[in-house]
Amino acid sequence: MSAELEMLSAAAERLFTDHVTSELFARIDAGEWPDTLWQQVEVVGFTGAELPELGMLIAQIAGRYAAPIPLPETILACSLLEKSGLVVPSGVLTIALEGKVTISDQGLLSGAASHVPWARRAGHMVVVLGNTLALVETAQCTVLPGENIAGEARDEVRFDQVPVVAMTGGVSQSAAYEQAALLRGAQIAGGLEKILAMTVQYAGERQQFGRPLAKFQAIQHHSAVLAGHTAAACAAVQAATDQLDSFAIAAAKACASEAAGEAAAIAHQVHGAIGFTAEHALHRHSKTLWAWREEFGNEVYWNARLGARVAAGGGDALWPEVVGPRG
Amino acid sequence: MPQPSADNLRFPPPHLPGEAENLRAEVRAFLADSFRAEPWSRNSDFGTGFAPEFTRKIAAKGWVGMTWPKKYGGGQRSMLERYVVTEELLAAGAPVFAHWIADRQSGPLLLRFGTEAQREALLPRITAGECFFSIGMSEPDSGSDLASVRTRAEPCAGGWRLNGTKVWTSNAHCNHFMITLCRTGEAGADRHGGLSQFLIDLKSDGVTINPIINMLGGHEFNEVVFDDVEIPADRLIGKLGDGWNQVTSELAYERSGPERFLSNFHIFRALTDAVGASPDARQAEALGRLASRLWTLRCMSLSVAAMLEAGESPEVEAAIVKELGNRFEREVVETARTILPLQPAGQENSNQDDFANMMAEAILRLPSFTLRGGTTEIMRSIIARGLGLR
Repeated sequence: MSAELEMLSAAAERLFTDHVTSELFARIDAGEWPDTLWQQVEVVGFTGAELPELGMLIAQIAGRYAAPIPLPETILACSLLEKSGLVVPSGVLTIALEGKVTISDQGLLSGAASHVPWARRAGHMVVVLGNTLALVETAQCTVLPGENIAGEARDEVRFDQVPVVAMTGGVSQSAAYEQAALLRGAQIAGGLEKILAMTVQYAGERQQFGRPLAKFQAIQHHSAVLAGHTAAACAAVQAATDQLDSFAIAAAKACASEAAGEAAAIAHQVHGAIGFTAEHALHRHSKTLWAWREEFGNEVYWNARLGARVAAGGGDALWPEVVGPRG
Repeated sequence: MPQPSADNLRFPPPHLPGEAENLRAEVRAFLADSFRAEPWSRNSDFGTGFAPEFTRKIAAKGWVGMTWPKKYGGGQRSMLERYVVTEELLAAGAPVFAHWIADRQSGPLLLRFGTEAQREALLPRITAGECFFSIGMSEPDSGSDLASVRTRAEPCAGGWRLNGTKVWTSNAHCNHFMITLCRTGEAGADRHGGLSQFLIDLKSDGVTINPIINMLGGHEFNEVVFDDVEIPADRLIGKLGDGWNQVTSELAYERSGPERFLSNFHIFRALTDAVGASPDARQAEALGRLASRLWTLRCMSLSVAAMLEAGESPEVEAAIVKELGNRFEREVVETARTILPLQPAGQENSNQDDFANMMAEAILRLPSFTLRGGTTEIMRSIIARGLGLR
């Protein structure tokens, strides 16, 4: 990692450590929006973090803290708008990549988008339809609240002849979906790092049968397997960020999504009953892992795409595909 | 040195230098030509194909001992270039076992700890593809617990006298030398003292090589018995009593190499062809899962290789690659049998289905992958220590 990225990474760690606290989660659970946290990430410029490298790194660090804000979504929306040469509105942004939305010749959107992250808090929304990118004001739409298993806002958005603020062609919905998937993969990688660290710490502190859990070989081996899942997801996401092609991104999100479930199960097993309580922080992280592994394609979705590609290429093409460079 | 913790698991995205990618093209062209001229039965398990002729051909290309100094016949190429050659050979299922141990383990050990005379005598023969090595570590009563070896060398006139028994010695009946770990003094409190390594000529008087037939019915393993074998004094490798340190560094060289996850690549490749271009949903998902895991493992393994090349010691990361990689090797076979039903056949049969025969062999070889080169349990213990749990 470059010195600049190291510095930004340390700054992000400090910011989330200071602001993403158990008190903050208590306020979030009571329905509050974390305004101070959002202002902080805006002030330091993380909302405009450039993709791929810095944006993915920030998403991974946000994932470590289960930061309850649409930071990856805003990063992606900014990036898509900037690449299209459009003006980036200030404030919370989100992206709508799933659902059935059409756009008329007059530039009016109709239909519905599903699972739009934090639509209710976003001033503007980037909707990608085929090759078209449309920027709309959320206030012009009907937002029906919903949430994922971790309690993060995932709203349904209805469009009834909603005028676009700006629009452009020449974008790719599948490429945007891949970037969103990789951002979720980065969040998963961060979440896995967190539950591994929590598990190792808990195993060292918790005493049973007169010794720390860490001294039991069964716990050591559980933790080693957890470390393997974590390492694989982190390595895959970082390598995909580096290679940035469809093969690598599919593999990375599949790997991260599969690791999420396996790792969360181990972390809970080692934590025992305390990890099952609302009081203990583990559930913040296991819940986000269980949510993020499904979002923008789970492992079944991405593996199936990859498998179709591998099968079409045949045995002779398999090794060159794995190694790259890929066309 | 950083404190052990979860934060130390790092796999920076690897980048191969341009010369390594040029070399890859050369290796692929060579392998394609060689296969066309004289096809081999593809098997990506490094421990299956013993072919001195083929070894001499790749030695002539400069691909055995390729990282070693030129004065010993090496090519002074980088570890990453060597990585490329190794993964291409394995992916092609080429027979590499004749030179495998000498190239990756015994030669580097001699370079690091051997005397100048030992290097001059042996390394040029290895790089010429003429001299093959066995490993002499395990014993009937010492498997994972290597520090408990009982084979003993006693000083005698002109050198040492060796007595004891080594087991699981692959190809001792074909190879020229063994580097053996034996006891030369008291173990001490940490159990790691008093061990030394010697170079043993497998044709010496007093060496008896008995086959150990494996569960496939094949003769690869041996029991090697030393009965008053006289070892000249100049056959000690490294320092007397320093064998434990030498042997652990020897094991760490290649714990995370491509051979730790590619052993069943020939099955994956054949499976891809057998499924064909129009897979059903389940087949597509299963093939994709294997591809995503393989891609991830290769990124991790290459990342470790780049760290080794940079002079770092990613011991925990390497153990993670082996633990995950060996599991993947099993998943390839288990996946194949669930998406493409077949009846793996025994040896006595008129079954002409190549894939079923290939699967039968792979199923029978699987149990060895999570044992050789350090068991999965040992890997997990190394990882746990790296996490600060032990």
